[in-house]
Amino acid sequence: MIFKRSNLKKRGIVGINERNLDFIFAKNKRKFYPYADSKLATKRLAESVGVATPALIGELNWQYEVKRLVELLDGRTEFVIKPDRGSGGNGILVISGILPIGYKKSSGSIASRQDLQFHCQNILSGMFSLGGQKDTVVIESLVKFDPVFEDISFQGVPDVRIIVCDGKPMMGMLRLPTKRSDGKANLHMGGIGVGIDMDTGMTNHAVQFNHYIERHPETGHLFTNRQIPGWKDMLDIAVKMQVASQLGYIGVDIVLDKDLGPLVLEINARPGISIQIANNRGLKDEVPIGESV
Amino acid sequence: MTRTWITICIALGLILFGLGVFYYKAVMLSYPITPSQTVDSWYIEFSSNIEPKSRRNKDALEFALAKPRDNENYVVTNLQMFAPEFGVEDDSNARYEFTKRSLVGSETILLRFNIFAIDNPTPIKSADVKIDDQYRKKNRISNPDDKIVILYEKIDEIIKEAKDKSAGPVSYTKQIIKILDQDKSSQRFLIEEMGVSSREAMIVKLLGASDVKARIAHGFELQDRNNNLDIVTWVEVNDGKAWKRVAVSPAMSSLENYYLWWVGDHDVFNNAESVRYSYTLSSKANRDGSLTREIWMQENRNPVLNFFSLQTLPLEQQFVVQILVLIPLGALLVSFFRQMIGFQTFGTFMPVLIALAFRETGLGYGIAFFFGIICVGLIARAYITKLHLLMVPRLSAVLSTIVLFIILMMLVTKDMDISLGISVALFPVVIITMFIERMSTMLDEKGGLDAAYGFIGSMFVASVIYIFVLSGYTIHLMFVFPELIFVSIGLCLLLGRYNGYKLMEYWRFRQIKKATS
Repeated sequence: MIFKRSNLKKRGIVGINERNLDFIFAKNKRKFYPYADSKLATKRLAESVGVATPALIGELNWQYEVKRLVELLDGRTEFVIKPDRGSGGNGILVISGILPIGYKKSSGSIASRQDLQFHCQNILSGMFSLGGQKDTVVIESLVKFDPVFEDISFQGVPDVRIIVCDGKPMMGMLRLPTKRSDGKANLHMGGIGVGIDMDTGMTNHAVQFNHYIERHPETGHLFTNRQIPGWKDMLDIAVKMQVASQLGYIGVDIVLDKDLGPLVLEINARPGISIQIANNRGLKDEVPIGESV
Repeated sequence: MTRTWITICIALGLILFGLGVFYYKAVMLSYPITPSQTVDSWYIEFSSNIEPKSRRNKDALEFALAKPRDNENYVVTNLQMFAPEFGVEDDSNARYEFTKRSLVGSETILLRFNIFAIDNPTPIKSADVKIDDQYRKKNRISNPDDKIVILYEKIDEIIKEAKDKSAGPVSYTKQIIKILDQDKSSQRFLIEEMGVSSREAMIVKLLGASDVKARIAHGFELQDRNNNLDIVTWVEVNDGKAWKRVAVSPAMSSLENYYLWWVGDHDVFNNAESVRYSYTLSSKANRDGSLTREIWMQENRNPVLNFFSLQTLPLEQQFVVQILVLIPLGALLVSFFRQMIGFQTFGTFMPVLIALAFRETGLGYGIAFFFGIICVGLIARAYITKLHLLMVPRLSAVLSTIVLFIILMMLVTKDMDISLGISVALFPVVIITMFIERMSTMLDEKGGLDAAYGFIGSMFVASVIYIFVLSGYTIHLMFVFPELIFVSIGLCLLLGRYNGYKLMEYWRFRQIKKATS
């Protein structure tokens, strides 16, 4: 039953081997990877093509700079501390307010100033970067999420991922955090992926752990038939980022700020293939096939 | 031409080359494809380090080494001796005589030979052994002092008791040994008073006192893949027709599969009092049938092929190479399971290494052991994570916990009849620590579910490699036909350009069809 090869092939579904060989290896040159791997590099790239990103409050490169943290954060009440080269959303600390007793984390608990400094030291020593390499601390202002997805997300950060290949947007997916995914929107951690119609920007199917679901497990609201605000702008942004990065095949993660509109969070040079399930169609439906030279 | 086509061409070239050489050797030269079931020949290597006992001793040296010879059960062929630093005399049939003006540092003597079992053991004429009749009644001194009287009495007592309980020379000898085993004090007394150097010599004298022809024999057990053989000593008695072997210690059960190296009351080196020596003795069963016999007998039809033949390597290297030639196959299997089936494993090499570790522990215990260790590692890690340690010191702490656990396991299993404790050698411990490290990194980066898949995948692939690749059949095939590695490389290249679906992706994408209808 699972051997129905023709079905997957007919639908243009791309498997991991094919993604690696014919998309990533063929289209993404190694020397351009830093644009995707470093959040600071992504940010500079976005600036250069006039794409908005969350405002940078500051960056820390060395352990001795951690003392500057207080001075940097002076007067700020909402900000995010994250590792420059973190993966899978690890090491991201979201502060949503200042109380007399300390900083209020998005999860509700309180962090002292020492806690923040310790977190920065951990980031610098490579605790959250792949392979434990030394890393940089990035401090950004907090995105004020557009309430449009509020009733279908649980804590965390809903974002839109758009896959772009050689200047053409291929597929889009709304990624929603759940209790299971611990506030992260990553699909393999239990986040929910909702397919988006490329022409209209309307949501269609939703999947969690490769299974179709209809309602959000925590909020109970339906996923389908919602309009993504500013969908056309998002597609434009995604294409701009892809062209600027010179990586042929990337996933662009975009968040929607209620005041600033769409902001690019990061770009991914190895976007996952589960997006095909969320959209219920294969990437090769659309992607021009063929190897680059 | 695209990359895919270039790859396919190279891969096909490699595969055809490998298969071609394989075909030529297997069909045209009739190299054996399967290992022979019955082992009738062995490779033996004896290497010894000689050094002077004292630095100041500048005397000329002269000592001898027993020479392996044909005997009634075995034939020795292809005997090679390397001792470049010594003068060697080889005129006598029984031994090599080494001479040197003065020995400064440590020198090596290497002896390499092959032994074939003879189908119908034929008695061989060996030099006649005179009965050691020093303690026969008629030869005893007439006016002995007190100690000698006690000695004579003791001898008579033992002889009488043993004769009583025995029916022939062999059972008689066994009885004597049994009596001596039970009475350690008189054994010590006899050795001391007879003025002999060993228990065996004393037994031979006891046998001589009762007119039984006996001699001391030395040899070793013919084993497969042992590079730490001991030279053992036993006693042989003549029952009138042939020499019969009698074990002198209960540890030696059967002497049937022992090769008799030399006879006499001396060590492997004779007259070697002024030097210190140590030796290693390795043996390996030859399962390559007629092939190696051909190589050894120098009837080479194809010197090029024989140059590349792994059987011509020294034994210790053969042991290593036998494993080495399997690693490409293991890696190929890992690639296959990852690219075509979709298993997750920790790294490419890890399952191969785990399979090698299984060789030491066995499959069942191996998996149980790994599982236990992983559990301990994860518990330790779960706690240590709470302390918010940096990654490298945290991993080191987890590894140290695991080493503690392994030591504990060894202590617990020490008294049980589980080979596990002993067999967890240094090599598997290294593999286990690497395994834990990879698993911890995976846990950090991808979470528990992926790590669990990785564990199951690694164990499964390792088991498959253990069962199919580390089998005697595959070892033989790869060792005799190492050109098959080219085939393996070719297949790896092909796998590397495989862009089709993995088997597991049919499962992953199974929902897609449903929603359309």
